[in-house]
Amino acid sequence: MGITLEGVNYTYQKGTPFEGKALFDIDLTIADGSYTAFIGHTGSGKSTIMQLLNGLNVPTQGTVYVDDMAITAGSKNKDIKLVRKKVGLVFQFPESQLFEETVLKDVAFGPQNFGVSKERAEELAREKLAMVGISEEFFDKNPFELSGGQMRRVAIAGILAMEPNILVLDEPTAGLDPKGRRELMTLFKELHQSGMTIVLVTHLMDDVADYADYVNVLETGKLILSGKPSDIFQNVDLLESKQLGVPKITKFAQNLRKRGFQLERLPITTEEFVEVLKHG
Amino acid sequence: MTNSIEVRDLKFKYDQEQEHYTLNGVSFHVKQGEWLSIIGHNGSGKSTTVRLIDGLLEAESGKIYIEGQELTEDNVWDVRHKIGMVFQNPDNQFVGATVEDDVAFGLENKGVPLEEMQIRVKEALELVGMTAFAEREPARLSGGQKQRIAIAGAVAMRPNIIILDEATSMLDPEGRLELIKTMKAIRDQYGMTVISITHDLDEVALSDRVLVMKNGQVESSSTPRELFARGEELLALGLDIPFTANLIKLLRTDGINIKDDYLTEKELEEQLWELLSKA
Repeated sequence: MGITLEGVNYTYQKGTPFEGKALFDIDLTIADGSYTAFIGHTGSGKSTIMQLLNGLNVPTQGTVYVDDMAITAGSKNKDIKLVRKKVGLVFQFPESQLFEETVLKDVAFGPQNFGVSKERAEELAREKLAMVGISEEFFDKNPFELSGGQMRRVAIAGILAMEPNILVLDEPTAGLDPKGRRELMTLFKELHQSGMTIVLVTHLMDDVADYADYVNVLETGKLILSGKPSDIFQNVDLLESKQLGVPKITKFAQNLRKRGFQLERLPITTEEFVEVLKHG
Repeated sequence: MTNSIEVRDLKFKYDQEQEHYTLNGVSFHVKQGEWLSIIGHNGSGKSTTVRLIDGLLEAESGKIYIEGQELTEDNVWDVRHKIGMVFQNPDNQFVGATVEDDVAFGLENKGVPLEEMQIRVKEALELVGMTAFAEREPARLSGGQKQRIAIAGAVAMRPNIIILDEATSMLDPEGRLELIKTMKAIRDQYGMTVISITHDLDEVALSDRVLVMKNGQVESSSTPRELFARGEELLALGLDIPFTANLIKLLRTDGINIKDDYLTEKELEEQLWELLSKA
């Protein structure tokens, strides 16, 4: 199952002076249960793809399959609603979308939109807030009184409360401090281990190496590479020419290799590198 | 060298009922042309400090001198002209319908002649790599692109002092490093003083001096290298541990002994290669 894109093209603001083509003939699959990363320079179309995955945008041409549902240019809102229940999309800076007067109400809002009773929605909200590390003392607070990192968690809990099978994260840790970033990445890892499919858009190659099992590389609206991170990051020069880069340790190992150190494959984590030094 | 900014014993709280001071006796100085990074955990008082310097908040006690002139209620507007301030979230600062209008806004207010204004806007957009977006709507750009525009807006004003409050946080690592290097070049060219609040290790590494803030006070002032040698403590200060420090630690558990606690990537590469090529 999972998500499949077939021959997808997308043009934004069609028919306006701002019209522009963002995606060209994209074919790809996001496997069920995978942790799939998307990388690409600014303007490569990553965010546009994310918005296609949950039906926020519909393709101008081609089809997006989510499990057995197909989204095309002519899809009706009624059909797309089911897709939105399955695929939870966390935008960049999701805290800007908080609006309710209390944290609990904000998180319980989403599920009620999908026909869940108020009681059940609040039960879900409590559960998901606990999951993202927001303790009960905050439940009745105004979300705008929280710190940026806490607001981000509340917004993520709001998506989790809709119980999606697939969680799409568009640069979920952008703008957070290192501690907040690590805590969120750990949360997503746990969600993945519990069976959720995770789709991550990121600029942090170390995160791709540490967490993802598959990676898609985009450039100006086209898919140029895809595969396992350990394979993709062997292409150091190519990725650098695209201003994407590789994990720090991969670059470090490549520099040693250039000096004459024998390395068959470049490691993508620090642990792997130390292992190679030890056992050759 | 003269001081561009001097801050003496600042005390501040947002609310009279607040138990502890948000800033509790903050003193430091920034030299003319210096690049000072301010780091510290959330709530340590970094943003509050720079808001006081820009006169956006008023201290309960203490003094602030900008280029030798004491900041008062009467001169706050004049002093603010010397300072370009860029916040983390540029959405709250956009006013123009297009990117170039937005960058021109401050210049227009200041009465810069049209011809000069066009030159400065063009230059500023080139510096931040956003020339191709001059006629786009700011609202439709990505977070990182918006931050570039906000920085262009500040640079176009040619202030003597630029204050960046996590102003590059939404940029990708490569783009951020490139932009910081560009900012450093502008600093050198115009002799600007830069204060930058950041969590980014690469940026801290490039700065002249680092101020660490903790619980509303200045915890320390040091070179980046001295700071990075503090190892695990860095986490508590809101920074990551440098990649090389982590690697050195892991290597040691495997019996590869690198003496120093912190080295640049190049230095570690040298040392490691020396060990490996002998083995």
